[in-house]
Amino acid sequence: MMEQFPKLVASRLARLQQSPAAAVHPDADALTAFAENRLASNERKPVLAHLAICSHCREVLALVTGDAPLPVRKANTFSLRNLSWAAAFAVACLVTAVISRRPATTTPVPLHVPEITQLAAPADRAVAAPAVLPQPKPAATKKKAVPLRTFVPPEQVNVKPPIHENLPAAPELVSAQPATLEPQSFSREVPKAMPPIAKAPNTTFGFLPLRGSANAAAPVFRLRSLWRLNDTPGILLASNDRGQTWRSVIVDGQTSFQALSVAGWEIWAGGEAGILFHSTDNGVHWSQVTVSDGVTQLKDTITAIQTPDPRMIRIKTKSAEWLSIDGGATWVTK
Amino acid sequence: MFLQEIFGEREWTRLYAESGAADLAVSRDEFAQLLLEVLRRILPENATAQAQTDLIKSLRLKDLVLARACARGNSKAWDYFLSHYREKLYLAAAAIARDEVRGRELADSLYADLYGTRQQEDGKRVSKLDSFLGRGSLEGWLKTILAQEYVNRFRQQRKLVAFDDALESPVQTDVGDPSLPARQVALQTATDAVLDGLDDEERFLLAAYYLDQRTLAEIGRMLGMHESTVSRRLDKITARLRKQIIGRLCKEGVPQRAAEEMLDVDVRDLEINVREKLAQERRA
Repeated sequence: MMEQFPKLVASRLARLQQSPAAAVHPDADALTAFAENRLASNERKPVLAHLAICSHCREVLALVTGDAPLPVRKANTFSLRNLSWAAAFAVACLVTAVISRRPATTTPVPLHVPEITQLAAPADRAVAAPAVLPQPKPAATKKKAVPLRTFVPPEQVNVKPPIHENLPAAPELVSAQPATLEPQSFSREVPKAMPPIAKAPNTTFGFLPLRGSANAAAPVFRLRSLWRLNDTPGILLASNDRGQTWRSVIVDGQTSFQALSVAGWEIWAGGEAGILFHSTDNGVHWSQVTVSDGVTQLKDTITAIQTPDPRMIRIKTKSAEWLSIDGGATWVTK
Repeated sequence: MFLQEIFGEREWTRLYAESGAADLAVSRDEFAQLLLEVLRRILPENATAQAQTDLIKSLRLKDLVLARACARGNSKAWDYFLSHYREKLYLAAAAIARDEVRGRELADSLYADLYGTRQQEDGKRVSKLDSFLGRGSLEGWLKTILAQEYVNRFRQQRKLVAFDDALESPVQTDVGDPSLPARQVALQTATDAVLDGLDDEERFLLAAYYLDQRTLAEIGRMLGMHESTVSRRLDKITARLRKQIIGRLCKEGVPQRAAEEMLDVDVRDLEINVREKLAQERRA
């Protein structure tokens, strides 16, 4: 009997949804405050009364308060195609690990990612990816010193369209050192050796394929921001148009920044009173990092930051040097 | 200044500093004007000074100042807004649309409204951010705007579908229909009367559960209560409703046993009613 009861209730409740009061909706501000439980009881009452008779606003409220994750495409986990991409990703990780542990050398490190077709690269490219790993001496490259981390020019990578969307983002490798940008040819001047710890301006750039792009013939790439410091007031500046215009970036609105290090999407900015900020998403979100060895906490002005490796951060003040080898979780001082 | 007098210099200075207005080059006078406007829009004219101070203290001042500075074209505020909210907006839109591409489209369509494309008669831009009053967070408000836009679009599509459905739907039956059996009319009248006697929260719970088919967890999140509380309350309301409906039917002269059976009898007709009522609602 109770199975039929809900239908009776639902049918009679639907009648209430047609009352004239249901047509006058509370504004977004009131609905937000209701969802966040920030309305006083006298303000909450009329909103609740409306919600009881308005399926439109209930639907909005359900979407606002819902924590539904992004839909995941259904895929056969054990299909050969997926397994091949998993293997490709594993090899890419292995290559990254090998490259990051190798000392700087005058021989370019060849990079090969299975399932990604290598296109013929012009001979004047500074970085090439010609052969299968391990292969110490690739054919068509200039003999220049290559920093520990390098990047693959995007037009050398031809991604197969149907599989592209399921491929995890390949680890991208970009030098943190100052570089000259020549976007037309994707070539760059590479420093002969690792420079010493340097104060800003310290800029970098890179290209990443947009997620979901399935056009293999003409892949779309997004330019990563350029970063530098405005020396006098210690303001962080970013440019999204290859340095033509610069905008100030407010991190906490107080700190005067004195040092900056950019490595790919990772940005470290330090300033007065030992304040250190870290962003892992090209400056969209920032988190403050406390520099302390458990006994003393860094209070001096940070004058330089170096990130030779994503896990290794070296900070310099006038009187000391701090080092972290776990991405800023723990620190030691010299 | 009116607000400064109410709060006192020290408290007023604290509120101004807390709002971050100085960082966005919003003067104290502009800050006061902004708060007065919010008071006018939320509270009745005869609101007491206590109600006004309580409201101002409960506002998200930092978000409010940021939104209004953006609406007035403050470039520093826009930089801050874009760096802090752009990514969140895309993520929220993707979660609402349950699709990354459609979510991005939804969020992008909102940007024009946030920036303000329409112009007033005096040439000033009209930004949607002007309607943010700071009672909730700016992030939550943006999500609400996105959800409203999404539901509006979705309902627009459903209206088109509903029109086709309506052509094939059977003729609606209701209490006023003389062809209905007397007992069915009595059942519907009794149910309506009992539902009218519920409070708003009880009606909300029933509507969300029986009409919208929401899960207990979803309803719990909507009302800020645990799903077990929702379940308990729904059980109690349902039992009470059933008891009261049967009681009313008995008062109308229907035997107890027959009244209990009636809750199970008219199902097929009621199913038609539900479909019709919902279709009507969509058309409204």
